[in-house]
Amino acid sequence: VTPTRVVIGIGNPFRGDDGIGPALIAELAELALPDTVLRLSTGDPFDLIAAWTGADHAVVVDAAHTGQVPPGTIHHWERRPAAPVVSTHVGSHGLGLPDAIAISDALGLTPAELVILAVEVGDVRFGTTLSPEVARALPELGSQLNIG
Amino acid sequence: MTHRSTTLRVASLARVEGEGALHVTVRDDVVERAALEIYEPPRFFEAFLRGRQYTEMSDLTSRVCGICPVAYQASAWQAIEQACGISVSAGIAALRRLLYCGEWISSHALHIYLLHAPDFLGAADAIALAGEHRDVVERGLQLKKAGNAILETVGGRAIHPVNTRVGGFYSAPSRDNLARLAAQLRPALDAALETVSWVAGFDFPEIELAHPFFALHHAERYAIDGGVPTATTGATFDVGAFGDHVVEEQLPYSTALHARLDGERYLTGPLARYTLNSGQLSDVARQAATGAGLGATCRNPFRSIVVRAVEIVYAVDEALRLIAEYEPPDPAAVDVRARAGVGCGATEAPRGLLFHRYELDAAGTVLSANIVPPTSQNQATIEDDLRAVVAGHLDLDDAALTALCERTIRNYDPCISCATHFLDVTVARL
Repeated sequence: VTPTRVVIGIGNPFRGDDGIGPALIAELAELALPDTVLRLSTGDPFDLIAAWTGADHAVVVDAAHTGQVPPGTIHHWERRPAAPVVSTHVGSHGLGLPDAIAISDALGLTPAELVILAVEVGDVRFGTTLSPEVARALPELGSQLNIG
Repeated sequence: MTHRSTTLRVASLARVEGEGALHVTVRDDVVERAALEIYEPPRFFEAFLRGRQYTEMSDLTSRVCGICPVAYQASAWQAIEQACGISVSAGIAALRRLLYCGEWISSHALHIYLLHAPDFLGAADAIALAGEHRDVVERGLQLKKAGNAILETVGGRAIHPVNTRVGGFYSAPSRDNLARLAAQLRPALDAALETVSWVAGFDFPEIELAHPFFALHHAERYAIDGGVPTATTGATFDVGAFGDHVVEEQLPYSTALHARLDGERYLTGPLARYTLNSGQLSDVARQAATGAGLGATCRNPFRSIVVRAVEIVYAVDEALRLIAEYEPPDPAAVDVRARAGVGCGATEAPRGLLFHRYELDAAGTVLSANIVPPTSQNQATIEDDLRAVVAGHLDLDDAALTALCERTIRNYDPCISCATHFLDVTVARL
């Protein structure tokens, strides 16, 4: 059995750099990758858990704001955010990705491998385009996923 | 009791959809002010909808909310189709109702299990709940997946469905696809009934809201995807007359407009829906409601969790009925030609009545758009409830009082995320 991988993009494409997750998913969808399932999520914990349940390897691509590094920097975290993060995703609720992971852990549903690729945001005002700094992270995200 | 002077600030209010802030001021043991600030993007959406095409409204407005995109789509279809003088076939309408049932199940399951239940169980949050009651949270996840399965099968994907359009669907699912869906929904009905029994056992403070309730009422079925705006005051009017009865006013501290129904503050949402429509529940949903101790009406905001659970039972049961009777609509969409005109639409989003109004020119360009989401309609009533809660519990210390205020707000499941993230709470005692 081929190990399955799920790549989950979180974010709101109407809030500038917050749309980095969906932007990557849109690019990956063009490639029709074998053994990789693509998902979009608002960050709702139940949806995230449902999306990664049963996968061997999950990659969550989200926007993050630590304020400690320049916009476009990719944080690579195993299992859970390693820095204090202000989640920037819009349109969800008071629970974020760390909560989803904690609930998933309690239910025993977290994949053996869970990687979070979080891109430091610059501009998250209303708008449908990524800032140039954040857009430049897209190829690097692809190579971190061993694509391209 | 001594009169204190304190200011308390809570960094964020968890388990509420979206972004906002609550400011409570108490002076000499009198509640001077209870203001719920909301930063609400529907206003922004209205501006950028102008100049776009009539066919784009449902997809664009669905982006207002990641929790209830179908509600935005459905109100938009209805308004645009009315403006263009089109009615869809009964088969398309039934498939839309099925899609909407999926959203109710998903949205209510999220609120009950991850946002609201911890308040009744003394659990700090859903993480603690998952640790202590794994089987319970798994049941919530099962219901969420069942709702999402409907959204994916009918709508093409779980968030912001892509198979939908003005006039109907890009393609209608096959009977086989829906039969597979039904197989997943049957166990979900058991999970929904267990949810009702579970929440019915919680302790509920005895509070009755006196405000008028406002919801859609449909002649034949429990109102979801359409109906006649109806209030417990006896007021009932055509959707097109919504603007004559519901008047919004701007307040300085909030980007959400405060609405009044015939001059009064009022409540929309599950309690209103249930109170106006409980006679139309299916047998299994009505039995669940009765078993949970609900009468024909429910005016206790804390019991809204029971009403939401009953509405999940109804939505699963209704989805199974719609699937059993399903014939793929052919064509899957009717042709909707643009014409100059005005159209209004209203449906029952999980959080309450959602109204859309569009004005089109002959080429289908949107000249004006107006969206009235449920949370802005409820805002004045939530604030009034908060004033009463604070006034009745001034003996509590600031931390306990803040917790009670947060709980009060969560009773209404406000979709401030028709906005964004953080709710700062301040309590000032002067």
